[in-house]
Amino acid sequence: MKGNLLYRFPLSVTLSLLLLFFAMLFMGAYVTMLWGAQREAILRDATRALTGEITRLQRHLQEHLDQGDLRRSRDELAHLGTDLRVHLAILCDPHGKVLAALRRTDADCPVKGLFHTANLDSLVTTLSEVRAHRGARVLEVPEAGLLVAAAPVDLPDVQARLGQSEPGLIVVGWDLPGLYGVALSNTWLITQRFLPLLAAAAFGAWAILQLVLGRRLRRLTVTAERISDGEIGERSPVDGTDEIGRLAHAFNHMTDTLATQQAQIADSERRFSLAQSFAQVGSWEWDVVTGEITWTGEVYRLFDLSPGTPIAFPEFLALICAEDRDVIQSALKRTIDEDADYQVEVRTAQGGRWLLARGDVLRGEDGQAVRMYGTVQDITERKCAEAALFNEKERLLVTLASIADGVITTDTSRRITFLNPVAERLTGCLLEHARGRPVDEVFQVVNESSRQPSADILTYCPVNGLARGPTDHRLLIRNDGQEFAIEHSAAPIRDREGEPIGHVLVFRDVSGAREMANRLSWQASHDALTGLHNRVAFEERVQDLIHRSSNPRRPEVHTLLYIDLDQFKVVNDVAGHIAGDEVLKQVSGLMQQEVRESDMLARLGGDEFGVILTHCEMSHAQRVSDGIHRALDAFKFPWGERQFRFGASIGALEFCPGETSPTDLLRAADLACYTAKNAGRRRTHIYHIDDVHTQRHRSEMDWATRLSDAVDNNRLVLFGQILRPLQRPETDEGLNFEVLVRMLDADGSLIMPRVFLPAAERFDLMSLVDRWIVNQAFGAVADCLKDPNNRIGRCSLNLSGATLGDESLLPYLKEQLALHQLPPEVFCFEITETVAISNFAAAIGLIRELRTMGCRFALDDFGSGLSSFSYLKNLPVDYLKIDGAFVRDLRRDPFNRTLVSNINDIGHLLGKQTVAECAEDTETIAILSDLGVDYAQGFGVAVPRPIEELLALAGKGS
Amino acid sequence: MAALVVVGTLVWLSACPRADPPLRVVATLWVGYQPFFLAEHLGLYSEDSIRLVEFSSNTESLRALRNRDVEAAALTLDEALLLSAEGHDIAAILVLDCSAGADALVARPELGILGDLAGHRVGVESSANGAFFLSRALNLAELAPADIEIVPLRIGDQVNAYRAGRVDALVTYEPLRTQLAALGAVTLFDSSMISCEIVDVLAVQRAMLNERMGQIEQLLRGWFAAVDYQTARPEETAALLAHHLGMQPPEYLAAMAGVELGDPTVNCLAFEPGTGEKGLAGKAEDLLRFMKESGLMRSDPDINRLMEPGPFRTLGCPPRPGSR
Repeated sequence: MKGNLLYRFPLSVTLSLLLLFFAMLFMGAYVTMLWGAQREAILRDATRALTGEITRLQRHLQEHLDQGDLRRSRDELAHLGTDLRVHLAILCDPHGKVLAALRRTDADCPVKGLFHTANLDSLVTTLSEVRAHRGARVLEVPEAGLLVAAAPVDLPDVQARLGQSEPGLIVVGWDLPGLYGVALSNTWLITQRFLPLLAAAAFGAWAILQLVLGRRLRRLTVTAERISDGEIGERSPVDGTDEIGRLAHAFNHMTDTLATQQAQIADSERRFSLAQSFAQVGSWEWDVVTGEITWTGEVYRLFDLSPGTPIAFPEFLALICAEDRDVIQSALKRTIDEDADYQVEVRTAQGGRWLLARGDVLRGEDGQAVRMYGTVQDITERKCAEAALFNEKERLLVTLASIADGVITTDTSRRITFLNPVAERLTGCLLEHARGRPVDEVFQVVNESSRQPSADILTYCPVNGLARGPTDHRLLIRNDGQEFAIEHSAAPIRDREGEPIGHVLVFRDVSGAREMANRLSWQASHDALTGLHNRVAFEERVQDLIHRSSNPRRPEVHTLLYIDLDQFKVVNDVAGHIAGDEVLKQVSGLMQQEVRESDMLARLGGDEFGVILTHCEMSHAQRVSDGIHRALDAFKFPWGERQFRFGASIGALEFCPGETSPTDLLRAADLACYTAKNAGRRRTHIYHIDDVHTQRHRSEMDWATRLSDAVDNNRLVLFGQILRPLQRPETDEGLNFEVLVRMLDADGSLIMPRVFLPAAERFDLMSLVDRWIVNQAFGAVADCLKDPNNRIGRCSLNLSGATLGDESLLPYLKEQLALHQLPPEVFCFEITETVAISNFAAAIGLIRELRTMGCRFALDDFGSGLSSFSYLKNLPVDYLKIDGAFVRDLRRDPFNRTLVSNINDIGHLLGKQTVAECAEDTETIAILSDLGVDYAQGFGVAVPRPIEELLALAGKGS
Repeated sequence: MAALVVVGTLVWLSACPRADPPLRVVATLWVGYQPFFLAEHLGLYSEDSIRLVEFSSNTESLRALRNRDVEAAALTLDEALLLSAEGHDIAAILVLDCSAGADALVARPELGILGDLAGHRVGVESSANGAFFLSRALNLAELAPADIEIVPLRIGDQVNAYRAGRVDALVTYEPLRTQLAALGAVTLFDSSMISCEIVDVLAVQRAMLNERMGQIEQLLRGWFAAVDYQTARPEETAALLAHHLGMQPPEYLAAMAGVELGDPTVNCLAFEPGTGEKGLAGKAEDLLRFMKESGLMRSDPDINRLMEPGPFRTLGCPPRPGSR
């Protein structure tokens, strides 16, 4: 405390005050001694003076008393009052009674009452001594504060003449404090005069100290403080050669050195800061004990703070992205507690920077963490790049995982670095097992045909290093032995400088595709049902042979067979398509056996086949066709309980390369086949250019054209044939007839439908013909019905299968009915059983629709292609027309009669009326009537006649 | 801390009192001066500040004042004028009393009236007061100073001279008047016949007004308090002071009846007279004129300088009664 006090104030002040203090101390001692000495001197002088005074007073009073004048004595004592020293003056008798006193009021009092103190032993002794010795005495009585003088005096009235009497006493007391007061005041005076001197001296000392010491020290101090505040350029102006001067010189020199060093440090720091700024690396220190944090400028920049902002740990934490604070704290704790490496990557709360902080901990001697220091670095770009890279890689991996191709990458030494899932699946080897193994070990590829291992799976164009295109016909053998047809390509992987760093192998399982391609290729040239070549392949083959350059020396001769199965339609109609297909397959097999392997057997469509016998002359072809006929003769096709037999109509012809076109050739073969068929089936017709039959048939083949012309030129004519009701002949139902068609030939002759209708069916002209018939018939009926007398009970029209399948038929019929304003119930449409069954769905729809309108339906030729009565149940027809084949021999054939009867019964049972066709004589009609058949139709009833003629009968009754 | 030391030292230096010696005030045994002693008796004056010194005659008092042996003295107005005329720089600061019967001309019983004085020896203090009083008496008796034999006599010697038959009549005052009356002297003339023409004042060395003002104020306050006390309790006062004057209390009371004490009212009138009233200065001028006419005074004192109302004013004038 004392030391603090001493060092608290400027040196000049402290020194001056100390000087003043000691001077005052000395002065106090001096004054005390002086006062003591003065008191002593005063007391001595006063004793002397009082002795003189008491002696004088003794003489005066003795004189007054001798004259007996007590009053004068009293005056004398009272007059002493003007002497300020006198505090007490009394005249007392030997008994102590006051006779006179300084104050008159004190007279007549006892002496002792005048002393204001009890301790008067010395005084009493002295007074006794005075009386005894009869001499004056002076005595200091400090207790009473008096210097007392006493002298004896003889009192006249008590004077004993006889001898020595007891004397009275004069006692005078001087006031000691009063006397000393002079000394005190003198001392005081001296002190007062001396004090300013002392103060002046102190001030002088202060001034000198200030001049010599204080001011210079202060300058030095100010300079030092400024330097410590950073004003490094400051220099102390103090000079001189004394200690302070030398101190100042040394100080300035030291500052120069410091400035130089600071400049160097600043330079170094600037470079350091620049380096940190360029590197985006800042450094930091954290005093673990005080929590003080020191940053370099770069760190502040990284946190977007102005440099020098004071930072404590909580504020530092607040600068970190909230999710990362725990990371930092736990990392710090781990570093401090476990001496782990401090390395964290955190984001800033603002700015979204990524920072990498690294640090180490400095420990005190006790092992406690004292300080942490380290660096912080902006790694945002790296993080972004990493993220981008990660995303890219992830994307790549996902892509690779997602694509259907197998991808394998290897290093330059062909060791596997990566397999994608497809590659894993195809090679049967997981990535973790495959990694590092040679690619050939995992990716085992053999040539599809040679089964030799492919050594070139990683080769690619050596010139430009581009990937090699897919190589075909490789098989990948999985490690479990399964094989995959693959296509693969390889490419080098290059680094930025173009140096190869590995290979990438892309391959695809093309087993399915290849199989599909094979199948398509086969299908394109083969018939799916029989496995034979199809028409396309056949024609190609024909073309090949025709275009083959012929050898002029020895011309090639080939033979072509055109085969049409007879009676195949029956199987189809009766046993159904499945049976038909089976027949075709078996027949194909049979025929295949009859031809050489080098020959081509093809199915050209439906039940038509073709054979190319290369380098084969007709004689040999004849043998082949005969073989076919024989094979078919021997062939029986069992279906259910039935057996079907087949024959074949074969057209054969020879041809040479370059002779003709394939189309002509095939057309000729077809004609030959047709000729054979027309010639009675199960025969072979050999085509010759000048063949008359063939020529004729060739013209017949033009029926289609002629029919089209007939339709266009209205050279078709309608006939009608009357139906007779057998069961109720008396009822007049109006005219009931079936519309029939004839073609009027160019020469005016009528051509029966059986001549041209097959052509019409063959060339898809039936629909056209049917519509013409409908149109004409509707027109004729409408004209007829315009006469109200005319009555038409039923007008039946035939619809072919092609027409039935025509979706526009129904709208057409409705339109025509509406156009001619015809009652629908007049019309009955006839369809054959075969047509109805083969187009069952369409037939049902049409029948229902037209019946709803009022039209009727009849099932034609019932029994001819009989398949199942169950169809009959489901076909909503109104009439059954019993096939003429059963009716024709009714008279002679009881089977037919029974059959007709049964059909009739079944028809009636199902609520349908029956019509018998081909009722050619009266007897038959009678039988039919007996059997309960509702209607009869045929020459026996009425011959067909032109429809105009027939309709003329409408008004006259049948 | 150092500053505290310095300041402390300075305070100690300034606080240390320069103790003044006591103010010495002399007074004779005149009854009108007794309030001073009463005040001392009542403890109003501390021993350190005021010392009352009792002389047997005014002559002694004058000498002490002239010798500057005392700072203040109770004097008659003519004495004050005399001192002032002699060049002593004094100031009359308080009217102590005026005689209203306390001064008297007493004579042996054979002399019946004033007129009988002619040719007789009259003892008188060689003071203006004595001369003034005697001249006033002679004036009444229509006698000239030459008609009588004047015996200059100190006041303290009066009783002895009367006993010894050295004088036939005496100009005296209380308490000697009572003592002389006890010896058989009869009163021919007293100051009640010239009421308040004889005035006592307190004269101080003018230098003291500056140096000892505190003591002077204390002196005045003590005076007024004692006057109040005496007015309020005359019997107690008589019991206290009669012995001091060599009287019995009844005598003291009788003597006291012959003076009018200078209470604040009296002093107010004296120092701040209203219009038409004769203040102390006026009385001094009258007295001075008489003294000059009678040859008692030859020089001209400065009355205005002599009169000093300052100390009294610091105490303040009491509210003045309507008229006297």
